[in-house]
Amino acid sequence: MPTPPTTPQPGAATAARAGAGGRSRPWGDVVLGSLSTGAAITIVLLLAMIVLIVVVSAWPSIKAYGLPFLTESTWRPNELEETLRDPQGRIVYDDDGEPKTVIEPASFGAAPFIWGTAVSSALALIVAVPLSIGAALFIVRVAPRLRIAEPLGFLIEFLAAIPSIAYGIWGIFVLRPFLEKHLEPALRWLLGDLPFMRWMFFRTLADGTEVPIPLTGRDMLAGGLILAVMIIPIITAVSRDVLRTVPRAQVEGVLALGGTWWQSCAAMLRYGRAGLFGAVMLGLARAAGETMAVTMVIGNVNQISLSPLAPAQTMSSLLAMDAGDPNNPLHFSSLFYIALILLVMSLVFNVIARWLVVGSKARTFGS
Amino acid sequence: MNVEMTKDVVRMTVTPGNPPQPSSPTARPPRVAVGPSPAMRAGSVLQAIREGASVTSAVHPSVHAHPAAVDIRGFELWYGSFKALHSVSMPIPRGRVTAMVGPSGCGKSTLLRSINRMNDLVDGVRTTGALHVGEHDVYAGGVDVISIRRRVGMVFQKSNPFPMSIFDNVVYGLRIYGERRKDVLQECCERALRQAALWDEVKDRLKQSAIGLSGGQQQRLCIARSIAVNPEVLLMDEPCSALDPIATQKIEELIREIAEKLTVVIVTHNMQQAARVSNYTAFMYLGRLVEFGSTADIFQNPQLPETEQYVTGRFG
Ligand SMILES: Nc1ncnc2c1ncn2[C@@H]1O[C@H](COP(=O)(O)OP(=O)(O)O)[C@@H](O)[C@H]1O
Ligand SMILES: [Mg+2]
Repeated sequence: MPTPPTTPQPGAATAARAGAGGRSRPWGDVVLGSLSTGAAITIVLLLAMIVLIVVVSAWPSIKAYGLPFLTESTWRPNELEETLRDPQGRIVYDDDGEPKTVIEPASFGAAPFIWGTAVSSALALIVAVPLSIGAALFIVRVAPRLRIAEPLGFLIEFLAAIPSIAYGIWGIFVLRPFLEKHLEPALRWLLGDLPFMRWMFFRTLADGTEVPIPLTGRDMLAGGLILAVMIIPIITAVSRDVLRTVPRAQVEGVLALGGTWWQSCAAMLRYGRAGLFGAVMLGLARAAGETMAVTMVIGNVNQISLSPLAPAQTMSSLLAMDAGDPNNPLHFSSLFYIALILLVMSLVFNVIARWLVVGSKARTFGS
Repeated sequence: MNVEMTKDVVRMTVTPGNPPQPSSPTARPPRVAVGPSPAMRAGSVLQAIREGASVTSAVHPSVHAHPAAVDIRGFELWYGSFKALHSVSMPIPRGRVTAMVGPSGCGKSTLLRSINRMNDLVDGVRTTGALHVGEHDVYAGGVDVISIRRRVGMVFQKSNPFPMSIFDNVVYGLRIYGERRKDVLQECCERALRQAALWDEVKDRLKQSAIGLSGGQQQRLCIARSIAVNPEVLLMDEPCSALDPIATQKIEELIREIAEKLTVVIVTHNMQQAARVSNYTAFMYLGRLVEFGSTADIFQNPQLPETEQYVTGRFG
């Protein structure tokens, strides 16, 4: 079995090795082989470098704050000069009659951003998961009969490929005004008078008075909704692939027993549940890491508020806002600490998702 | 034999005989002949079928000894423009086992899946003719397909247990019909598993996943799941083709047992299996019913030499 020495065909190397043992490999194979090995090594090195740099840069902050960084809710990049007060709350004056001041050092904690990322992602999932899985079911069970499965699939992949800044622009000019003028007033009109819903529309000041939260359309709700729009394509596409691998026999088994169409759909979802959960995790990973569009609508206030109508900040949008010029080395380092949290989080989500999706495709129930 | 049959099938599918013009069900009288015409006796029936002629099925009078559980009359089916069933008329006797045999691609599965309207799932299927299950006209306009499928259970070629516990599998049908009482479900589960000869093997692990069962056990579980809802008819499409001989033997025994309570229609490519389990056998060829009679007659005293050649494996 002669192998042309200069054609670098895939498989040629294997053929040469398997067929004519001992013959030297064609030089084309050697070049191509080392090129691709080199590329692979480069990618691994790049990844290692990124992780290394993030960890090294975060190190001062990790040393300064340790794990309590995750639950600390102050994020104050600047020193704060405050008037000194005695225990009764009176201002203390120095000998010249000037108020005495104290310098509070800059202080960093990730809690508001972890909260912002968690809540906005959760909101996004609440909206996106039913829609996406519904759409995936439609594509698998209904669209083929209407001959629109392919165009729909293309559309969804296209949606997934739209750059996030485009979603951000849409968020600012369409979603935000809609929330401000229609959805949020409607919510307040509907729920605002219910005593157990006050947490959503009022915030309590330090002295115990309640003030209404202004409805601006730049808040956690806007962030969650725009994230929902952005993760619908990926959850839909992966769920569709998962549902397509459900054997026909499962659906037919339900129908043959006298099940309804809906019951056969439920059986599909049950069979694919692990993969569907993986699809949701992929969506969650995307939501947690998404930056630009969220930054543009979430309001960018470093606070923890229960109300989805209050402005907030996510980890990634904080990085986008603050990374431009950090005020001091600890600020810089704390931003990297947050990046590290993000990195670990998306790694965990992605690993779980891959494990579930790939696992569900490999599993074959009942033959 | 197999190789030559495959050639025949291929040749037929590229030259379909009749154009796809479904006639109205009333226009076509049921063709239930008592014996073959002299021309057929000459041994040219299969040749005539291959050339696209419409032939009269040789239906033995003995099949009328029992009332029909499934009565098929002049039934035809098209997949798009391909005519897969040509005027099949076949009264399937109640409370007996009827086997359908014939070379692959001859329409056995299609006919079987017509009985519980599983063909509805295929796009572009059209039918004419009549098909009754008991009193119910399966293809009448506005018929409740779900209620038909509750009367007609089905077991597939590959076992298809649901990814849930053994117990949940068996009572699945009852649950989707709305049965919630625990004691009723437990009782039905035990009865169905006993009928499917699986109870002793699984009674201690009803809560465990059905996926852990062996292939043969899974298939018996699927049989239990089908008979748990007390169907009148049980359709089986090559239920043993993926199983080893011992598992096959168990299923054959259980088919003979459950046939005391319901009507079984089984598709098989295994002549010995047809001879062992069935009371009646139908021989099909290229979408036509060629001969239908008691299994003893079909195997020992068929009316057509073609049938004899096929069932003895000397086909073509
Ligand atoms: N879904 C389908 N669409 C189009 N043609 C089909 C379909 N299913 C079966 N056929 C055709 O109908 C004929 C009968 O098939 P089938 O009933 O599966 O045969 P058997 O079960 O006897 O092997 C074959 O020629 C097959 O190619
Ligand atoms: Mg078949």
